[in-house]
Amino acid sequence: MMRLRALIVDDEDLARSSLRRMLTDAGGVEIVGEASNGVEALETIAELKPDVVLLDIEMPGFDGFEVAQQLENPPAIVFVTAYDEYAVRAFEANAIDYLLKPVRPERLERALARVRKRLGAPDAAKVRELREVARERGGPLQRIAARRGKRIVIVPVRDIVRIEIEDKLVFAVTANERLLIEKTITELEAMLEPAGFLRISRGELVNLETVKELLPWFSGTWRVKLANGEERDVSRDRAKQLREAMGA
Amino acid sequence: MLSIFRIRGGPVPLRELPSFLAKLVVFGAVTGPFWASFFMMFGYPEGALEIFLNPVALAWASLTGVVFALCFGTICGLGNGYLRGVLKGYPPAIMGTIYIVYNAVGCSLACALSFAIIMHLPGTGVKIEVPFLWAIVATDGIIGAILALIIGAFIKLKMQVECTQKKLSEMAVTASQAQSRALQSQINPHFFFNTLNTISALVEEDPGAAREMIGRLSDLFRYTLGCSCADAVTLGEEVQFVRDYLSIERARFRKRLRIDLPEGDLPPVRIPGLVLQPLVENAIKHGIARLIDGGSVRVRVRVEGAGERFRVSVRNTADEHALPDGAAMFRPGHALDNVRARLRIFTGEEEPLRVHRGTDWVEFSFEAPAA
Repeated sequence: MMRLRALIVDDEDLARSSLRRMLTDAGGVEIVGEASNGVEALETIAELKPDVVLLDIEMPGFDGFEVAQQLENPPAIVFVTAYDEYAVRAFEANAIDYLLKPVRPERLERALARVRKRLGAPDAAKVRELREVARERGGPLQRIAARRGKRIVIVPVRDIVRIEIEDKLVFAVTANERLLIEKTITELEAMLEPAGFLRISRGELVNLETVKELLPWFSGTWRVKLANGEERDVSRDRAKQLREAMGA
Repeated sequence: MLSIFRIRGGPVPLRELPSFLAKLVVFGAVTGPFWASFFMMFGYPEGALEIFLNPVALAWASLTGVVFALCFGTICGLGNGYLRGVLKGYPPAIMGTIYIVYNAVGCSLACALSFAIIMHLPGTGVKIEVPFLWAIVATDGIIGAILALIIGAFIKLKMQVECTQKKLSEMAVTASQAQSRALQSQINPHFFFNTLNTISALVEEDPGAAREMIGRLSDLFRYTLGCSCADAVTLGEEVQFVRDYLSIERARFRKRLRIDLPEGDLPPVRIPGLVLQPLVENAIKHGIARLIDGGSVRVRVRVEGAGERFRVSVRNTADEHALPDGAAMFRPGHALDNVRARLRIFTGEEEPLRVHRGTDWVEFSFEAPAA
């Protein structure tokens, strides 16, 4: 039997130690790390690349759903919750693994067995499914992880004016700073579209909330005027979508 | 007019009798000339105006008015007041019949008496033909009966309105009690399952602590089961409940949760049961639990002014980005909405639960009379 590399994410010490004990007892699992909040979870998952994450839903920083929505190459995820009717309904509908607290060892073993079976499933399908469930449960993404120097910080999505690319790096521009985001613009587009962002050119996304005006520009292109006074170019093939999104 | 003569008020107390009679005298003296003038229009129209110009005639008319007012006032007015007390509790049909008969006879008697007095006053020389006198007396009897009917109908209507109002207010009280019970907050399932999870972890790690926690959870359960929210509990009981509740949360959050509860004697006031704990639970769920480094929950009790009111506040550290607006805080069915509804019933205020916020804290408070 293949040894599963597992990560435990829960903000309560006792909840983590209980899971740790049960995973050890279950056998065939190597616990590669633990995280006690959403930000740590994102960092640890990116760093350790576990096969499976036992992910608590109610957590500080990012909650379990916000973490799941921001994963690019998600490991198998088993959500853990004390009581969340809506989430459970969404999990059932999408065949996502979940455990209810207090966790029973045989339920945990069953979840691990399912994880083993689905380990080879393509990433794209997993990403889609996770985002689907997260959206059903919590609506569009409210906050996103960005980097300020070495630290991961939490940026409210509504504070982001636009997303831009510079030297192949992606930045979120807020009213007073510019933060590095470790994602491709295409990933961000998929993540932020439900939150009211639109791609206006190959290298740029804008928050529709901050668009003040749409001005015709040269040869079929357009420009948008943003709330912070900036003007940005809109490529020809995106202009129609933007006009529709703005109801113009 | 009716209220001047206490027609609605039941029997006239003995000590109010002089003022009642004085009112009758004044009423008769003032209105007498007008009555006389009115009746003169039917037989002697020229006199209708003359009566106000001739001082002797005016004085005479006032005196007549006083006699009539006294006769009607004492016989019908006083009698009706006493009758009302005597007949209380009788069926409306009997009450009405007695009123009508009494007023018909009373008015006839009062009328006859008035005429007898006037006719026998020395030096008046008023002469009225006997058949005509009988006609007037009979007419008065009929008028009296009609008046009794009208006033009776009015009183009955008033009683019905009062009865309906009373029923409505009784219904409102029952409804608010029922509402109060329905609103009684239960142990939050989230808290319950999380606590069981903590206990489940402690069972192997620290069986003593697990046992301790099961005991505490049982105490909490007993309190919520036994506490009927229709009646208030003492502030001390509720604070102790909060203390027990927090000791469990502390086992979950450990150092992330800092607690500041009122120490020493609390004012001996009462608040609705299970009002303070949901506020503290809200502080943990939406404040502390969302902060990576945790924060503090502070409960304060303050006596306001000269001790006639008290104020209870719950303040907690909160993430400035995560402070929801008012509407989101008071979602229907949410614990805060529930607490607000119960405080509304308790204090009678429209907005009993006040929210204050700073950059990294939020505070809920309410005030109530200390008595």
